[in-house]
Amino acid sequence: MGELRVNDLSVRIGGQAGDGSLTTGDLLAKVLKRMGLWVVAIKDFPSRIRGGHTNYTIRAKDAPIWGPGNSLDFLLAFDMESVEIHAGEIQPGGVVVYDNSRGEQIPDALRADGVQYLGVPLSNLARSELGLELMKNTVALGVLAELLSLDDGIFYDILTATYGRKGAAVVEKNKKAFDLGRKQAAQAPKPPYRISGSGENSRRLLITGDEAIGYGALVAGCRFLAAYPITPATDILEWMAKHLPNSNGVVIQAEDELAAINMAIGAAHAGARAMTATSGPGFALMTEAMALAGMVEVPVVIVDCQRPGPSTGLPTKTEQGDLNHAVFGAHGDFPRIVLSPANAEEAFYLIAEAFNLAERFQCPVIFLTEQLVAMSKQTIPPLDLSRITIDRGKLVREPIQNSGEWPFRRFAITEEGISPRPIPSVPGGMFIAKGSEHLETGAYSESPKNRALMTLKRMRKLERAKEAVPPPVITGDPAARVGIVGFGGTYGPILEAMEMLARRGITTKYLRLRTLWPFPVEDVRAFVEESDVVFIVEQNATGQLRGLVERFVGPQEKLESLLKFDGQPFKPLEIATRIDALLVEPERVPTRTDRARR
Amino acid sequence: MTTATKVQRNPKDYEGLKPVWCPGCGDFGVLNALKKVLADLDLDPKDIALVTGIGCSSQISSFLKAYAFHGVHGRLLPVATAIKLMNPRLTVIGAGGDGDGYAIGLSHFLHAVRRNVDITYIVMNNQVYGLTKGQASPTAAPGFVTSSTPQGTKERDVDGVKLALAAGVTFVARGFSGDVPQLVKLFKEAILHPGFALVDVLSPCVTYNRVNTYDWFRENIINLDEDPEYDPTDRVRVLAKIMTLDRIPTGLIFKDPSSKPYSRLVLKDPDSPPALEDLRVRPELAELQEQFV
Repeated sequence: MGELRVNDLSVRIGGQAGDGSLTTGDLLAKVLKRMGLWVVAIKDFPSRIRGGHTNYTIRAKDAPIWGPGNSLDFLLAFDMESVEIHAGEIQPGGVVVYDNSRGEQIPDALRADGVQYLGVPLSNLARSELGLELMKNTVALGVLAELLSLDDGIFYDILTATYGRKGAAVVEKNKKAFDLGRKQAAQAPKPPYRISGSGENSRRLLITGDEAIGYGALVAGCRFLAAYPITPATDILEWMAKHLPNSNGVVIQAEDELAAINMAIGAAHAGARAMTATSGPGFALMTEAMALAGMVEVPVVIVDCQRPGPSTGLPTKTEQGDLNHAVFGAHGDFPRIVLSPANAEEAFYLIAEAFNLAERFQCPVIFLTEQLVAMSKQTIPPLDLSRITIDRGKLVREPIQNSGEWPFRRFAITEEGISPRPIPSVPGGMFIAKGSEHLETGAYSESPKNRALMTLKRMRKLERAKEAVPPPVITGDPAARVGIVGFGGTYGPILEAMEMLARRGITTKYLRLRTLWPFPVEDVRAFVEESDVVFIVEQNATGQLRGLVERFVGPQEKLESLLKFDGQPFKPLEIATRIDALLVEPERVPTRTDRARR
Repeated sequence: MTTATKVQRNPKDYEGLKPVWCPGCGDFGVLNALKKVLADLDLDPKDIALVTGIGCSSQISSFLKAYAFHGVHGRLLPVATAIKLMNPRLTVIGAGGDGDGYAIGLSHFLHAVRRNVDITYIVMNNQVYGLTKGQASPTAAPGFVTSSTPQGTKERDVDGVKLALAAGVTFVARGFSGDVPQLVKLFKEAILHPGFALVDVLSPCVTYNRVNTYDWFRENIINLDEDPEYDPTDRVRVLAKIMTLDRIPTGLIFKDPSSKPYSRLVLKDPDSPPALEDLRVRPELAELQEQFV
């Protein structure tokens, strides 16, 4: 038995897709959140509807967490495949609860010292006592509650809230299943865990990044979403389909991503705030129209929930491999802004800012997130709508007095590159929104002089945007000589790795980019200059973020890449161990080690 | 409030930039007919959104005074769809060529038909890609010889009218650039139709198509508007009729009098265009958090 672990728990539920493990996980996540803990619930599922191994990890702690932990405490295994895959990750003191309805036994080879293996005939009990095999999920929750000595009350509340709309009989049946589970574990030794929570802060939200993006967009005045279903962005489409019509908005499930982005561009041209949401394959299809938005200076927000590519890649796993595409994709030069949120909470506020930036600079804004953030449920403080503002830039809705001049000089060459943007129906504002090179009026022009002036006009907007976009967030010890740079969902694992390193006597600082483009050159340069070594942590194979740092800041010899591209999110230990190992390898990081270790 | 004196509009009010089409191009007929219709319907140019794709004919968005959007190849219908939904008060007209609509944009064409958004879609159909100097388009007849099909096209041709009918279109007509009065009539009905309205216009390319000329069309079309027996409201009989004709039918081919436009189905308040909303953060939206607690 290991030492007592207080309010720090990782439970993995494993089985076949369609087994109900997601519902079980959601129930457990809600219970732990209600107890006052911070919860993150991470889906790792196959790209199919039924069958295939799936697992759901519910992690809870009495401090904010945003990603997976280093090890597992409990495994609820509905089949032996789950035991084979995950039992090895259970740390001493933990418990493997497995379904032994058909006399399954865990072979010695899979057993580890200090881990309890508790066989419970979950599906047999569910069938014989409750008449429905699917109830094995709730039975398993009962087993877990008993092992952790958790009270019935919150479980009953959550079961009632979850199944209430299916009728009282279903609720009672689930409570019975839960009690049945408890009894099965009554005689089992209690593992060394104490989950008490604070009982406070039950007003916190349990929300996915996708939901937060949809919600934030709605609050920010988005009135149009067109999207084509694609994992891991589909939940944005579904959430908005439910809520946007109530605000007199429209959600269209488009015939493809080409239609989706062109619709969003049309809606924005008409004067509405408009968005599309997709993943890598769809984003690739949107590339041509993204350039159109750049050329006709239409504010459109494109959400890319990244998954591993190339091509279909791993549709349900996580990666940060679309960074180059977001920053450099599409033909020709045009201004764009690329933002990336750390977690669901920031996604809510940052997507609202994406709409402001799109309208202020009249250009596409790419909102780059990833499966880990998009689909994981995260505990966040209640959202504060008063922090959201609406800035529509140079949108013109009042009649323009221009003595009948036509077309209106919509693309007037101004010092800041931004021109007045009348919307259809505004008197005096008629212009040609032309994807070909054009004069200030939108009329086609092949004049070399005009071409150069117009290109510069558009690109000047990016210079202005540099001062308006969210700057990087720097945390950790400002005096540290070991720097870490990352973006997006590596946030949680990096913060935890920094704590681990601090315990080993290595102080670090961390620069997190919220804006990837325009690249915050000065902030990154200052950070790199004040570090002896900078670890660039990212989830792709080629170091795409490192490429940006090298291009704009350098120097190569100061930079170390920490890459992960197996579809799984970073664990804190992986980051901490690799930083620690690199720091003590003198040939890799000459002369820095002593200064780094303080 | 002052009472404005009603001024009758005339086609000149819609005059845009000077067209750069070849002299004799069929698209002039479309432009002239469209200007006449807009004047007849007394539509304020500022309340017209004209959306075009890529190709010779799509340049029409510069030649007619309106709020113009000249987008990418084949995607004018998604753009037009969203403009109409975000501001249903606008008269939204999409216009492009046969390559734009029936080749690269074919999928959007069929889905626009399905959605029945209240827009008018004019296809200037000339069987060739003019802007790239005369390759065969999907409406070219089998055997049509061009620079890209020196042995003649081996594919069957696309008929947008039949496709639209099969996909459930609520209004479809075919005109001919050589008959502007008929185009005026068809465009007017299309714009007034409460739903998606396709007008396929036989619009000869005088530079690259030496087969399907004005004279050729005059000999090969049959005007259904002149047939008193023809019933354009019975989809099955319409399809049966036009599938068996040995000539190209023109006129009002089909119209569903019960058409309900998409904007009426998807907008909670179609009389309050979302595009014109004075946006502010609505504190009551905070209540949506309850679902996550």
